[in-house]
Amino acid sequence: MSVEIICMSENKAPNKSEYSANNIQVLEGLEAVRKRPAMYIGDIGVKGLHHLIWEVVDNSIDEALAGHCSHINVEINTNHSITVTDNGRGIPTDLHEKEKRSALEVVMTVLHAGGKFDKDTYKVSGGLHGVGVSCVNALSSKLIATVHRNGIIYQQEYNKGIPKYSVKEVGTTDTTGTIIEFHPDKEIFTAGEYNYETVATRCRELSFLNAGITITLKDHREQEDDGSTKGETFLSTGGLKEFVEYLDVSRETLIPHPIYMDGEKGAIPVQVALSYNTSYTEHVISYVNNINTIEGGTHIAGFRRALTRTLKAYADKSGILDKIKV
Amino acid sequence: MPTNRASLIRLKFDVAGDDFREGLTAVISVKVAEPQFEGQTKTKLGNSEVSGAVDTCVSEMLNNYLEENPKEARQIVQKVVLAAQARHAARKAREMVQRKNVLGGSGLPGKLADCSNKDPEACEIYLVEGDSAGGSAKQGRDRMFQAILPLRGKILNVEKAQEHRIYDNEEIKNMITALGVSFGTPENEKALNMEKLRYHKVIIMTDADIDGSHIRTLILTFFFRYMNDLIEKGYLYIALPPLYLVKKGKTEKYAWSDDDRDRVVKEVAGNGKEENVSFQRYKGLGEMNPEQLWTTTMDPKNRSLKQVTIESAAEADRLFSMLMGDEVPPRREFIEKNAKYAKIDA
Repeated sequence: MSVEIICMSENKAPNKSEYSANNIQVLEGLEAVRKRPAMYIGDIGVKGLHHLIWEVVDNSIDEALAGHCSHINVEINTNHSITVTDNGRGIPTDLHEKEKRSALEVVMTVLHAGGKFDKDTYKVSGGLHGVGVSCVNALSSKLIATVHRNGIIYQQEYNKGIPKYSVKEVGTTDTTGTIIEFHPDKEIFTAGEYNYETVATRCRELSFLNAGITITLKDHREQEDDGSTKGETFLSTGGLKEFVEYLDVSRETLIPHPIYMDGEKGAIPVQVALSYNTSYTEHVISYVNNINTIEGGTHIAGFRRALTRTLKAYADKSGILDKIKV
Repeated sequence: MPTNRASLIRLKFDVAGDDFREGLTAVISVKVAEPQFEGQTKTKLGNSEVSGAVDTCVSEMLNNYLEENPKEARQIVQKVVLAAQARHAARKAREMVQRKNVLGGSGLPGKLADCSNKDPEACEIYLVEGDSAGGSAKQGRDRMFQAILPLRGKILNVEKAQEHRIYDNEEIKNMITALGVSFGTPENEKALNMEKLRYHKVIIMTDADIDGSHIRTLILTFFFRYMNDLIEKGYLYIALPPLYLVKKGKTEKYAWSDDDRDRVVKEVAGNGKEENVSFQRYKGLGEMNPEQLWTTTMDPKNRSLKQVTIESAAEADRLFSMLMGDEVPPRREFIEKNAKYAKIDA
């Protein structure tokens, strides 16, 4: 997980008096998240609880989309906490000039801080619906961020979003990456447990949507029959093609392999996989930035229009219809 | 393109957008720098520029695919034409089923033993497996509010049949006309129209053996695919006939499960020996006489009914296509996975 910092108030010149003022704003920001968590993560039930995981995983996915990360591990721990590990570049830990604090601390404590708002750092990114990992931090009774970067292991711990100490060095390393361990605040999430199937389904979905990324899920609360920890590894090399095959597993297909298209138009990357089966129903699923758009929208409209027009034109031109008796 | 439209026009019917998407499975993934979300759950994309981008990409690449893979292209086009033909045939068949209602007197199927009450809320209809059980049910029922429709044999597996064939099937036609429903509302030509629904309880009554449960599944599949609204309203039920008759001298009691039987045997035995108690396993509804059928399964005071509900539409869809569809391996895998939860009926 790596986030380059850009300042949200670029037109203001930084100086000492503003530093303290900004600091107060920061506290207000995270306080707002704690006051109205539903505004930021949907709800404070089981859905919101899972949303915390997606928010952290999305950051790692972004790092992977930028080409710097290949493995993401998600662990459900016995003490109701979650650990997300990636082998990305690691969140920057050097001093953030405008905030006069470590970049890591800014990312973890300032709402909307991160590279996602800068198209040059991440051309595309998932999780734009959220407010980032700082939101997860605010809603966690305890969060530990560990960064492997530049041969050094950095760490910072927070309670309800407030740092317990400045970023410190805790060792040396020969890898890079970010480890986030968070304990959802029981004062806010009063009920609900993580559901293995829900997490696994989302991990599978993400692996189909982002071919080549390995996502490992481990649930330390449960053991398989052979005594090993319950878990699964998701890796799709075929991406959406494989996704379509997965969806159609119990249907007889009409064409041997799904049709796959990967293109870009006006800086909008478009990926589509489609197949026909012998059933009589339609099954179209759509995503925007890895988010499932259940209600459809303009991308579905464009897809349908193109499908109908192209097939109609082809059928007319090819003369297949001439041989069909009505 | 207008010059090339001739051959489609020759088809005598229009090919609608729906026809191009019958049997289609697709995943679309776009990346948008500043997405605008609309809709009730904020899961509807609003950026207008995305529509054109997807349109251009898809047409371009689909065109290439069709040009390079003429065999697959032909199969897809034929599927589309079939879909269009089926849609027209289905509309005709639906209209036929409905027209009969208007023409032939009461229009009700000859096999239906209707009830005398005409208030749908008070009335119930039993869909009974087989003519013989149907006969006992007719004798045992309360004709005031209970109607009986016997169904012969295994009804059509609608999961594997095209829509227009479904309306040709005698048993399905009988069910539709007996229920008084029709297809097509002002908003949607395919939607179920329940305005004239004649019963607010539709009860499936089948034998307590493998065949019975298969027939029950076939009927459920039909209702799930074509009369889902009726399930959602909570009108569909399953009758639970007893599995055992426990007897000692002149006392007769019924049991609905193996555990239940053991309990009843003890109860009937009282202080006496359990060996003196005999029990009989009902394999079919036909083994019960009309009075027994009434007391155990049809009398609202004693019977137990299971209401059919659907928790997750998507999961139900996947399950029905798996269990009733063509592909065997996923079904076997599913059954093996769930075998430990199911009891084998020998």
